[in-house]
Amino acid sequence: MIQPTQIDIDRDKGNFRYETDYQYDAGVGLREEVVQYISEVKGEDEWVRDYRLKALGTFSRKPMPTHWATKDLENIHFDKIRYYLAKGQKPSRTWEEVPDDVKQTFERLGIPEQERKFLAGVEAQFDSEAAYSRMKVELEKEGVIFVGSSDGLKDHPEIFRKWFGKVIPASDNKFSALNAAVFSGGSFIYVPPGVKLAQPLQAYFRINAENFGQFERTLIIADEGAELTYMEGCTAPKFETATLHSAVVELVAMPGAKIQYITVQNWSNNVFNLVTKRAMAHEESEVRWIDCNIGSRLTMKYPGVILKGRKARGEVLSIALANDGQHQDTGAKMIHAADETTSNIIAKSISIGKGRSSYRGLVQIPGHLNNCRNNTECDALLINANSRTDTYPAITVRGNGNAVQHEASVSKLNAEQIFYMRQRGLTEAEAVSLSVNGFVNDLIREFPMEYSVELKRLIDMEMEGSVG
Amino acid sequence: MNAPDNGSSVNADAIDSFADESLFRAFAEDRSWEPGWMADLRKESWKRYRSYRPPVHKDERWRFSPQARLSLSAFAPPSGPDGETTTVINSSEENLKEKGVTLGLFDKVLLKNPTVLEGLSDLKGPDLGADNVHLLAQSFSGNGIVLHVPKGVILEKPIIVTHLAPPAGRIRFYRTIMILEKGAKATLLETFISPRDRDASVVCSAANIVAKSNAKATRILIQDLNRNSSFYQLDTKRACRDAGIRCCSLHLGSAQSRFENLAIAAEEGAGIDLLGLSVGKGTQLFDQRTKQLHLAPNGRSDLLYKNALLDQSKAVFSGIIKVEEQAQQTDAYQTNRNLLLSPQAEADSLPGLEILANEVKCSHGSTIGEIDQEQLFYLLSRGISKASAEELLVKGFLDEVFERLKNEELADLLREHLKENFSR
Repeated sequence: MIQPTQIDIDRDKGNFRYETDYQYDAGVGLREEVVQYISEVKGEDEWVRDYRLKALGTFSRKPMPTHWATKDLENIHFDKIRYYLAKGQKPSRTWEEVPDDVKQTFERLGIPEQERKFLAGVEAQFDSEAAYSRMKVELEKEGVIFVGSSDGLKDHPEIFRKWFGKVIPASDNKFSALNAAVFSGGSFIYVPPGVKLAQPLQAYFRINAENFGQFERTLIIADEGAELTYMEGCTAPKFETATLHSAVVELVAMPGAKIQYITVQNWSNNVFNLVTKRAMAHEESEVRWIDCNIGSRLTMKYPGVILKGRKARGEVLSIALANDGQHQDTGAKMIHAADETTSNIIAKSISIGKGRSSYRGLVQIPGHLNNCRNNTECDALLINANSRTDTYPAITVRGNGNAVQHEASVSKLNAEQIFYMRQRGLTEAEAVSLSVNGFVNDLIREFPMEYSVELKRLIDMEMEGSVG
Repeated sequence: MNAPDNGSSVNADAIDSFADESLFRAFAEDRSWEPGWMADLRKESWKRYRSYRPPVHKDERWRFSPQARLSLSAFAPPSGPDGETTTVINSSEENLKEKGVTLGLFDKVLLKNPTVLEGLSDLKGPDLGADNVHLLAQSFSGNGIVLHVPKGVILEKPIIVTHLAPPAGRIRFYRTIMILEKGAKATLLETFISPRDRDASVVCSAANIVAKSNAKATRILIQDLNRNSSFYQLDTKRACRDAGIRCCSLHLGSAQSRFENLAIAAEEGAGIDLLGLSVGKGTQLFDQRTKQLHLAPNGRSDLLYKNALLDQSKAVFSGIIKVEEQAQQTDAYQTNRNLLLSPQAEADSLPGLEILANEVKCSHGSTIGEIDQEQLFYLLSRGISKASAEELLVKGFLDEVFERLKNEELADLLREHLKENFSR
């Protein structure tokens, strides 16, 4: 028998913090002037400013979604948050131009300079402004655009304006409205027709100021037949007071395109991570969200795919790990809007200590569609006696030849497995860790190699002290 | 993040004729013979109904439900006795009196043997959305039956009850109070039918089933009202230590029905089986909400709801398994299967889990699909016509529910009902 024990994990692990000075600061609280200020600092066009202001109105009108979501949302004090900070520098182009203190932080993150040379393009976001961005010459030659969100709207409006805010309108929910009002940072990517990127594009996000909210805006467009993989990893230092992170990520897969979007989220335990992610999949395109949530106080994230074109395919693979004081409220949305579309959702969650993980899903197949398929699997693992898990799927099906299956199960660690491993000389902690890694292994395999190694390390780290 | 807009919550003003003071007074005065506690319960419930305000936000408990269709506003509240037969009880079991069993119409038991019903105010509703309707049932209840089986008494034969729908434009509330004392065993089969083919009326069945230690309760409900009726089924089941409750609801009739079902595994070792089966035709609506609540260790609950949907019919299933922290070693399952037999039919499924204990086995499964084309092809290739092949496959799909009843006699009876429904 495994005795349920109280968990005490050293939260200073991954506690990276360096003094940074900010040149632009929009002050505390959210008012119209703040939005005006952000727009001004960024030197944006009028239509962007109007868009921001309209979104601010939507944000203040919308109620908190607490009739279905956790009441913890009421602990966000919107008037105590800083909505914009920047180092006031242009995104750097070469490694040499990156300030030393930023490099030092990356060093702590365990991303050696050597390794970065192999990465196709690196967009490292330091607070709200991209501090370092580089792209291989070959990519530029192929016509790939990989820029920060402000630059994207400024320099390539003909490409990005058409889709900006179209997959996720500002009025979609309260937090997408907030993001639309104060967004800064994030990536804009355009891959021209037929271009298949062999290496993944990456961005490392960091937040590093007290009471600081980060509101990135990412828009990725893969034109006809293009393929790309985008990786987003987050680490954040430990703060005394809660911070808010509310990103909006829009993906557009044109006919025949393939997009794979990978996230590893490891915010510190005081961050509210309220993210809206959605993709539009046109004919015969494929969108895949691979999502791993380990950190934060409350994560609410339901990556979605609108399957708009015939034979489009959407997939969400999700891993969530909730430790003491954490609530991972994650899931997926599949909106079928064309014939012969298929979608697949596989979600695994682990609750440790007093952690709570929830799966929330939406699958919709309206009446005029034929031959659509969805498969959903949710597995939850509970480690300690006071761990908690919930599953709240919602499925609506009409039409002809459509089929949906949903399955969810909740289990605890297999005592026999643990016994077997202990017998072979593993300590209980090692055995539990191995067992948990086995539980998520088939999903972790889907991540690129360096991420899956990092993920296993992160899971091991979270498991430390949960038994024994 | 946005729940689809399903209209606002129940509008209390819309059913305000029930809140009319003079009407309630008249109703209560007619029943001045009742014991004081019953009058108090009525008054209390009615007051709570009057002050009931539905949640301001969109209510998750009504998600996907076309609430307007389930409104009671067009129907007159019950007044005094209308002289109609409401309930017929049929029991072939002998010597009920000698065994100390109380079985009778709600009103009659209240008059002759009120002590049996004294715990009535503790018997709560399922609290899964239609709270106001349950309050009305408590305020205006006069019909229904009471079955109280004393300690250790075993009733082998099922007690068969038929409830009739009221005349057009009226609503009738039926209470079913089934209490089995320690080690008792009984089977109750209730059928709801309309005496007239076209009358649009509302029937509300508010049932409380309590199985004390080691008791075994079986309750079957067949709803076969005419296609203009509305039906509310508000069930609360409570299984005590090592008790077993097995319930099956067969929904065939009514234009629209709302079925709320709360099953509580209240003490250690309680076991609950919940079965449901609906066949939708025309524009029928079946709105099903269930909650399996585990409060104590070593409990077991198993739910299977199957819906076969033809034409433009619609089924909503929303179920939750809640396992409280202390309810370790719980086994809880929930399965919802929907067969869409027409492109216009709609199924919405919201299975849910809320697990606070860790040493549990819990799972849910939900499927929405059509007849398996390979199976159909196989039957067609054997020379069976398409219509009968489909009927065969649908019956095969539904039969799993009857098999789970583990009572061939009852299963055959239900099969008979279903067969009749198909031939119509």
